[in-house]
Amino acid sequence: MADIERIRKMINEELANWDLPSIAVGIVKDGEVVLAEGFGMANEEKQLASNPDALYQIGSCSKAFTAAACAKLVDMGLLEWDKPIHHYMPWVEFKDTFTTMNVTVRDLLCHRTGLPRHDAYWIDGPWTRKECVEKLKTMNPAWSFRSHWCYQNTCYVCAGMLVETLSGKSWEDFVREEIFEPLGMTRSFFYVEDIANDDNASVGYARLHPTDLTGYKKVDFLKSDREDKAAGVGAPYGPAGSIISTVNDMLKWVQFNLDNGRVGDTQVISEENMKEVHKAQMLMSSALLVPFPEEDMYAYAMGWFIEMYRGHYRIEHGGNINGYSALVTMVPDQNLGIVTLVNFDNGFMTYGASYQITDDFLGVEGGDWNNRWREIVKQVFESAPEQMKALRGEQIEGTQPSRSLADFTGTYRNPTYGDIVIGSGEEGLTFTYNKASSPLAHFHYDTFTITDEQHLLSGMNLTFDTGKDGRVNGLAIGITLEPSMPDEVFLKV
Amino acid sequence: MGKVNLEKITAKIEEQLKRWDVPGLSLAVVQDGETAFAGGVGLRDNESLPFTGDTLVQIGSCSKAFTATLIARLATDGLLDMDRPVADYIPDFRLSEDYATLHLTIRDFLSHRSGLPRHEYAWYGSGYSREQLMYNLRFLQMNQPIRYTYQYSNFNYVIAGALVEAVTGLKFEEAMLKYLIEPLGLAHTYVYLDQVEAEEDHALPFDHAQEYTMTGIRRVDYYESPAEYRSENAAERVGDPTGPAGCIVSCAKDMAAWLAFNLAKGKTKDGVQLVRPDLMELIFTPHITTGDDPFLGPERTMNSYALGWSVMNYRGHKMLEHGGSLPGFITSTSFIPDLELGIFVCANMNVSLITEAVFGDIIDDVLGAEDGRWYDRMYEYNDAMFKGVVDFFRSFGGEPLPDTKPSHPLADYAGEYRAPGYNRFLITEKDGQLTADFNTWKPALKHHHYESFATCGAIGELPAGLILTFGTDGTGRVRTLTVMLGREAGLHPIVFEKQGE
Repeated sequence: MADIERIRKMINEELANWDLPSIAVGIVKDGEVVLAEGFGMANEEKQLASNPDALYQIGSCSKAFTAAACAKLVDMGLLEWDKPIHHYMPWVEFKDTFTTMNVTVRDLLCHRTGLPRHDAYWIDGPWTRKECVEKLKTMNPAWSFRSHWCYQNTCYVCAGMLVETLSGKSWEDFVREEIFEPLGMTRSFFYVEDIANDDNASVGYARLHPTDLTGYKKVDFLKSDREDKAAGVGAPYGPAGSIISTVNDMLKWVQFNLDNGRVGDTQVISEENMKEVHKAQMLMSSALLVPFPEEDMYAYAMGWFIEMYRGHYRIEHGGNINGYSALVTMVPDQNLGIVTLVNFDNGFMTYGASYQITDDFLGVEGGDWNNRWREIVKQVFESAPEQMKALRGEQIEGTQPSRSLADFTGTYRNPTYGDIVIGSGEEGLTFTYNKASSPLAHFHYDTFTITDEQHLLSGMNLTFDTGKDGRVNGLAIGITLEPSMPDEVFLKV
Repeated sequence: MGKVNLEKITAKIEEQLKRWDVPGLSLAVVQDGETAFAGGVGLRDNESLPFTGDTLVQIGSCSKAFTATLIARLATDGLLDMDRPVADYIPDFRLSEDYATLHLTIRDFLSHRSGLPRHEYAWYGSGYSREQLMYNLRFLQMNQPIRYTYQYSNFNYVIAGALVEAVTGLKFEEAMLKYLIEPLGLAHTYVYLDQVEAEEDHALPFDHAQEYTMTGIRRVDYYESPAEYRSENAAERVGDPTGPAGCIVSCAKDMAAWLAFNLAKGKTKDGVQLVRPDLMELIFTPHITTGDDPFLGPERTMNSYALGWSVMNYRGHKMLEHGGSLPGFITSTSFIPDLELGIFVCANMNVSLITEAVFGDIIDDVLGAEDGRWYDRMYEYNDAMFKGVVDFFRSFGGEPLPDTKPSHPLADYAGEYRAPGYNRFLITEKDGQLTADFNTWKPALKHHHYESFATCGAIGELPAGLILTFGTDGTGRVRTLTVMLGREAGLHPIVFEKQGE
């Protein structure tokens, strides 16, 4: 049994080293909660200390709930893991007809449809949940069906709609009734309003500048205009990442998973289907973030990542959403579960702390995980400008745009991503996509760079194209964020 | 980690060979970049000649890693791209599913995730040439979605061989020698199965007294495909059509060098990077999960298949392993990169899990792990597996129902039956006795019940008792012969249709 005092001390020290507002940590070992505690401030303005009942957003840790909801539907005889979803939702289409006809819920949940992330369209986008799923048929695949693993949020939205189609309830209602309620997760929610209006809720923070290593400011919740609690309409991306919860509730969830679907004497979801959810389904050729010598054999289950950690089978999943990060870790052969929630954008302390706690329970010294993860974050930040520079390619000196800047202004449209609006501002062209704008700086010829450091596409180039009639007819941009793919083309409206 | 205790290990093997009724085995152990052992235990002829480090054996499916590495070597040279569809390289390549034909890459075939089942008896003993097998693929049913499940199939490696031939313009065997065996300096490694007799020091193949039992020792024939053609003239020589799945002949010394090459991630002993490191890594990267085997217990988990190698977690270490099985030989090649440990073992006994026990025991010795009781466990497993095989084929026909007889006179069942992609089943009747003739096997048939007959002798690895069921159509004529040619999950019985009527 690990020394809990030592873990407390580590978290307190590391919270300062990471310079984050707060972290809430929960640990279950052999069926007992051995730590459930908040550290730091959940809301600095209100001087609300973090605590095990404080609300945090868990982001993509929601995916395991969507997978468990599917397991429940399999239990209910409404869904088969290996039956093409075309059978249940004939309206769902992919660009590749074979994929449309053959893709199963297992494929959706283990990220192997061949689609790259295609994330930019939905972050701040105007689309409804159904419209997001309808966009699947417009999305360019990066790889042949089932040949590569690639994290894909829209496929989780699709799985969420499958839950809705088969259950006749919203994804939110189904997860609440079939998981939250039987598990006694009384402080777990789906709507931004739920966290924004709660008395014991954190607020999200982020660095002042994206690549700073210290200092932070409060940031807004990610909220889609389509979300409408009163009407029972959740965030469009909900099944991929909208859950709000607490350490105490998440510990119940972890225990439920460690117990393969059982709560007390009640088998809420069958052991067979929970094991299916926890089983490696799609092998990954390398680690999602960084390969460590202590780890090996990376795979994705359904809503969970799998790897061998120091020779132990480890099941884990992280989550990131504006102002928040979370990590749920389970080591079944140690009957150990760890939950870390931070109210901080891309807060990698979740990893540093969870790895360190795991080592404490394995009785291993010297992992030095917080320092190692900090070093990684530092390296990523330091190399980011160089990487973006490499993506942009060599700048050709002494060139100028082919025409007056005013000729480039207008609306450009792509079937997946919608509209980019090029406007003219005081200092030249402006770029507006969904809700965020940035100035454009001339790069070379008809290529321009998005310069605002806070913009999702910061540092990225776009290139205008001229048609045979001599007019500007489109622009191309690497908006998929997948380096192996060609730029997406937006045609001038 | 300790150095392997060879005295203890070989003494234990010596003792176990007697218990298992196995004549002998070839053994290589590589540790920390050195060959710790390359020799043998027991007798290569079951009489007087000992196994040595030079004794030639047929390594069977341990050849698959050679084929995968050859492909990666050709990719290193820019002759092919492992992520492009195979159909881009092989003219007339055609599977029974169009999408699979157009999209599957060599990685899909080398990792057995193509969706093609074994169809073992579409090649085994058929006499079909490699070209004919490639042509027949278009008739062979794919029974799983592509890239969805692991299904071990030697056909996947026939395709790999055809790819090698297409991009090099050489026979597969020549390419294997030129691009891999020779650069590796494996002087006692051969690419034609009959070359097991190329040197005086070679092992003879044995089986137990009866098929699917574990006692007694009797000599069996070397496996040889009817399509092979031996010749002193290398240009005329025709190899086993499924050679890319299992044609390598080697010895403990050379296999030690092969293990060292793999442990060095594609670097030869002279420091030459023969295969690009990222492609070598790809060969070792799990591509599809294969499921955990309860018999192999908590020590072996996260089982998956990479390219020509199985990958698993063994007591917390990533281990790569592959078995090989040809009539009279059973082989295992395994290595654990983080322990810098490699083991090759080949016994001259048909389908014996003693090889698995040997490597498990050696690794545990190096790890200082508690005794995994591998010899006991594998013996039990072996026994259960044999019973399972026999029961499976018997269960297919069920217990014979009493007092039934065939609906037709026996002579009416005689004739030639064909299924696309398969060789013909010839049924003959003589003096009230039906006999089947399929590939190289000619078992007599005895009536089971109604329209079903059971084989009295083996068809390849399919034991006596295999059920053949005839079907009659509305005209009253016998039209079909249905038989389950294998026991892998998802396999459908093959329906052969009577010809000439």
